[in-house]
Amino acid sequence: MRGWRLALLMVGILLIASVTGFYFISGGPRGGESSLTIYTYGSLFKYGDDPNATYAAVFGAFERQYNVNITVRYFSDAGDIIPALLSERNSPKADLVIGLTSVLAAKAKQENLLQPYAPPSLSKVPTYLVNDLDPDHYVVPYEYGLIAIDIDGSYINESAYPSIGSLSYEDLRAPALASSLLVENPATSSVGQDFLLSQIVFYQQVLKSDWKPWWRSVRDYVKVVPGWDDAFGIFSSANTNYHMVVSFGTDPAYSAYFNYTMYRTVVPQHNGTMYGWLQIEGMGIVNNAPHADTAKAFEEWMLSDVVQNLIPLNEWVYPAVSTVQLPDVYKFAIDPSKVSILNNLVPTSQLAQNLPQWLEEWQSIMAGS
Amino acid sequence: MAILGALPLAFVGLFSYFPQLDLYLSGLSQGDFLRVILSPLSRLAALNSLTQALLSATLAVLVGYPGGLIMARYRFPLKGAFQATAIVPFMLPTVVVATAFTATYGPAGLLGKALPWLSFMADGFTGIIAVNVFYNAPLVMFLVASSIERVDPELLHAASIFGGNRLHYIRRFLLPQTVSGAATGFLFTFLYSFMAFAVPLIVGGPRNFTLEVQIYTLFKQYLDFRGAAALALVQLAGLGAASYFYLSRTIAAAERTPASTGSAFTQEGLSLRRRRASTLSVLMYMAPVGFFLFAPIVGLALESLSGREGWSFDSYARLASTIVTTRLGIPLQSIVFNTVFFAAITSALAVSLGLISAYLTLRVFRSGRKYELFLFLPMMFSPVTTAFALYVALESQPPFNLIWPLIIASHVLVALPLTVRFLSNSLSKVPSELIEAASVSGSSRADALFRVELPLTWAGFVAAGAFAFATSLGEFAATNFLVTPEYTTMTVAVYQLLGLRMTQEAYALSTLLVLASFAIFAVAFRLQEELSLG
Amino acid sequence: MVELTARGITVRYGRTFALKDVSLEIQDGELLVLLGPSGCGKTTLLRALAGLVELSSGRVIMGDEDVTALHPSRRRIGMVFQTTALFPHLDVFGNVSYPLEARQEDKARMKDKVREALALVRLEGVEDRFPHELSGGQRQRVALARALVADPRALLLDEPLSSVDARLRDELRLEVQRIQRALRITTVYVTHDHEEAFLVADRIAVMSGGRVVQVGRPREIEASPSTSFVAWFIGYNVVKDRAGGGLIAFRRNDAVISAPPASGLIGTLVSLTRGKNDWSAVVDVGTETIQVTLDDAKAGELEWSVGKQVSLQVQNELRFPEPESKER
Repeated sequence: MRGWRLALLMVGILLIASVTGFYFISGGPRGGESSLTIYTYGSLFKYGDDPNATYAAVFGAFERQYNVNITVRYFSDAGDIIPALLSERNSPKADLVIGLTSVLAAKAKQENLLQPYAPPSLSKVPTYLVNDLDPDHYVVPYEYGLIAIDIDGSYINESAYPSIGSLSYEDLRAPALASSLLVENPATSSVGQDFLLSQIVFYQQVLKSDWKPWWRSVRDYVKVVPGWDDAFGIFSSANTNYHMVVSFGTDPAYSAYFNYTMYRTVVPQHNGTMYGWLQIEGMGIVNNAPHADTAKAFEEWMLSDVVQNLIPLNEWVYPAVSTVQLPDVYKFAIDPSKVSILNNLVPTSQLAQNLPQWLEEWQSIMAGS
Repeated sequence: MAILGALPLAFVGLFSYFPQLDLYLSGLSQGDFLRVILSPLSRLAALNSLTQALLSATLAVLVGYPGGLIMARYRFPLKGAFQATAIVPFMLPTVVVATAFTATYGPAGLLGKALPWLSFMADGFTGIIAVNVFYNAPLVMFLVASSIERVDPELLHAASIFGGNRLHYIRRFLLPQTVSGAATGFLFTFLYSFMAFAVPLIVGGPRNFTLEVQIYTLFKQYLDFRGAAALALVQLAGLGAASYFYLSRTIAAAERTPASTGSAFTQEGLSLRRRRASTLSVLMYMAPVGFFLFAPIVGLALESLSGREGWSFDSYARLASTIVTTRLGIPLQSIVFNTVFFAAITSALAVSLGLISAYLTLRVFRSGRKYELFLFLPMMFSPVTTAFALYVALESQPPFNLIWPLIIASHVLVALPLTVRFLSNSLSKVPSELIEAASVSGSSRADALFRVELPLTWAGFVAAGAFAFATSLGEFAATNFLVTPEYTTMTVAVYQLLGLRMTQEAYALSTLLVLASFAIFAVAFRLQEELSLG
Repeated sequence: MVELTARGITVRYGRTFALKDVSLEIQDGELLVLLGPSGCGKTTLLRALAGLVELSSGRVIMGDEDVTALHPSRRRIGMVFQTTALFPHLDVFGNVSYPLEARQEDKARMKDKVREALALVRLEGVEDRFPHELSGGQRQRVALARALVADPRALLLDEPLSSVDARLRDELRLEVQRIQRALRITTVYVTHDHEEAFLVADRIAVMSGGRVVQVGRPREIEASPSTSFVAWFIGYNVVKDRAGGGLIAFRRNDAVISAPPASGLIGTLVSLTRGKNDWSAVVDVGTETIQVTLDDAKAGELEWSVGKQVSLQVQNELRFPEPESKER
């Protein structure tokens, strides 16, 4: 056989061999029929010591107990779940969605993608959490985080800023501080969106004034980045100029637990009160889900003590069920009971309705108007 | 022949057109289009995209063009290393590049500390352009180099006998050939910069948001899917039309310049002793440009080495530890394996499909331009919608529900326009008389392809393969969307590490990515040198 | 070895015709030269015979086989290109053995045949060299060897001597002739140089404007060119007839120059130059310039008349009608 033909054949064989090999390494097609399909965000339960162990404890245990086969479909971002559900609307493949925040929940409801269900253990969840997310129980909470501002104490501390401990929005308007702040872009990030909402609700409901001037004064100073990963990546890099970042109130607990650099974290204050915004995560049963009953059982399971106890150290936010004992490291985190919850001040439906306009206004302001 | 030609079309059609059209055409109304077109935000976004793209493309060509000429004409020590350095930026995730730039040019950075005025390179609108040029100037270099045929020294002598000097030859033969390379480089840079998402936002801030960002925002935050789709279609139409006219004019012009029938492959060696003027001018170019390309990488490496208490290799040590393995849920070596595997398959596929397309466009079809445009158009589909469309359309059908074929498919889609270009350039430089001589000597078309054309186009292969490999290594958006834990790649892992707040480890992994690919490419380009010396 | 026939070949590119209904028969074993100025279609015709050009109409027949639809690789022809078209990535052995590899010849026989072919073109010992290491003449020999190595039925040569130094041209031309005669291979040879054509050809086909204008033995054409164009192209002087219309053509050595006021054409003797074996005088008669070949004696007589008026008497002239627009 002539030289080049032989070479070609060998390359072809090699290619096929490696592809087949990989196929087998990756375990072949998923075995068995799924009897519960869950759509969720990519980092669900991934932040703990041992995500594989956590996965087994949350999903494996349920599978054994109820004799089902769970398929978890991870989306890089919870926001991608809605379009997926929309496209499957006529023949849903998903049974349960985990990870919808207030705005996403509102959209899902609006599009009739979910069916309402209140698991029995919902009574263990504080009412304000349930109502701030969805009073109609299409989406019910399983955890909640607190939006806060992380501060690198080695650069920004009491010696330069004596009142840093009671940081307010007004304080942040000062160029010195504003130019040290990393904010996520509400047009591209859910954390950013929550920060914007918190700022808007604070100004409108607490200060009873316009929220826009604040952004006009800081827009030339703050660093706005697309997402939390980018923000934190810049914040924690060695040669950065930015020593404050919008993040979560539980960050110090995380740092303490894993022995990372400890940052201080604050929630903006006003007249001695902390005004914080909760990022409430919820779950919902898909409308016309093929396995609705199993999904309902899983929702109940998510609110069980077993799973709720896993949340603090694996999700690094607060479990919805209030009776759960928080681990020791959480003494470094902000205590949500000491925070005045801004979510309580406006119904979610109204927020969802106003958000598009607010986003547009924000984008215009940042672009210079 | 027809079946073969249909392969790339089928591939692109299945993985790109079908999912996109499925998504776009479901229920868009005229109202949707009007809504997004009339929105002032859309117009601002379009303006941003346009200015960033035009400026980036122009600068990238200005910076990269001389490099391309140098790469084609001269041999010099460390040439392979220079080429590898040039291609490395292509693979880096955006936040890594942004941080690297800050680490180099920022106020507290490597150079920024000494030269504070350099901070314009790392921030704001100027920073966006700087980063775009960083990413794309190398691509321009390679495209220009691939469009130049190796110089036949006899022709040079002939030219000088007939009264022209070397400059004359350069002007009349060499430069016209490079127009198509420069034009293609301009177009690619323009498209990449126009459709950039993360670079303008991280480096420049919210007021520099591009059309792509606006589409993303509509899709994810406003949850206005129809608006997003409408805007994406508008972007596609605009870019598509512009590209078509641009391509037809420049490629047609380039095809009109006569190809010389060089029978030698020699490139000139450079030495300070013998060719002082050339060597000096080459050095004058390479020093600043090489520096520009290399400095941020050094910045990145240093970034990964700096801990709280000064320099240390801690981050690397931790990267290799079981802690990372457990927390990521997948061992580091699997991540590396995935990355290399995807990149290798992508290269092979992209080069094969690219070869088929290039060959058919050049040698077979009269209206080859339309064929190439069909393959080229997917570049202009909004990446935000691409991965999602792919998923929605194909995920449930086996064998695609394995996900990894989809990942490879998305990589190949991104790499294909590049490979087609490189292979096209190479193939078109084979004098047609050689193919005729082969035919008359008894070769069928395929035989002539394998025994005459391909051996003469190794340079194109290596360039095509290298860029396909680099594209796959650096692809983030689609991969991140599609990936399941067991198929994590290095770029996705970098972001996951950032998410886990293992920042130093993230930068360490990025540095490793850079070093490993640098090594691979340096070897590949050295090989290309060897092969082409024939 | 076969006859090669072109029948009614037309080649069109858009609206221009490169070949217009050309028919030609090349006898088995003969060397036919296609002669004409650039753009006349000779190369196109050659390439049409090779199968490298798409025919708008017409047929190509080799022997009794209609090969019009056959791919060049299946026609069993050898071709030498104007630029040699040697494969730069293969050494001489690789180049010459290429047609054999295409036919999947076995290795041992291949070596022998290559050696034979190289011996035939009198180029031995260079098998390991690469084309760019060879001189122009050597390259052309390799190209010839490659064309002949696989026992082709016909040999096509496209201006084979044009890229060779003037000094080597004669040598190479003689080689080509020698080989062709030895192998008795049907050969079509394209050139624009009429002297070369006359030296090499068994028959010549003169072409102009995409058509064959005259076909015949060199002698015949030389003695009786069929049109004023052919006459001019092969070296006749062609002048307008001062009395009456039409053109007069005469050979360079069919004119006598004498001092005025003798009869005939009047003109100025512009120059007198020595060629290889004789002298060449250039006379400007107003509308045309005439070249006359002289021997030493005659040249001596005219030495003093350079720059002065002379008269020209013509003998054995041929008459032609006024030409149509395309031809001269």
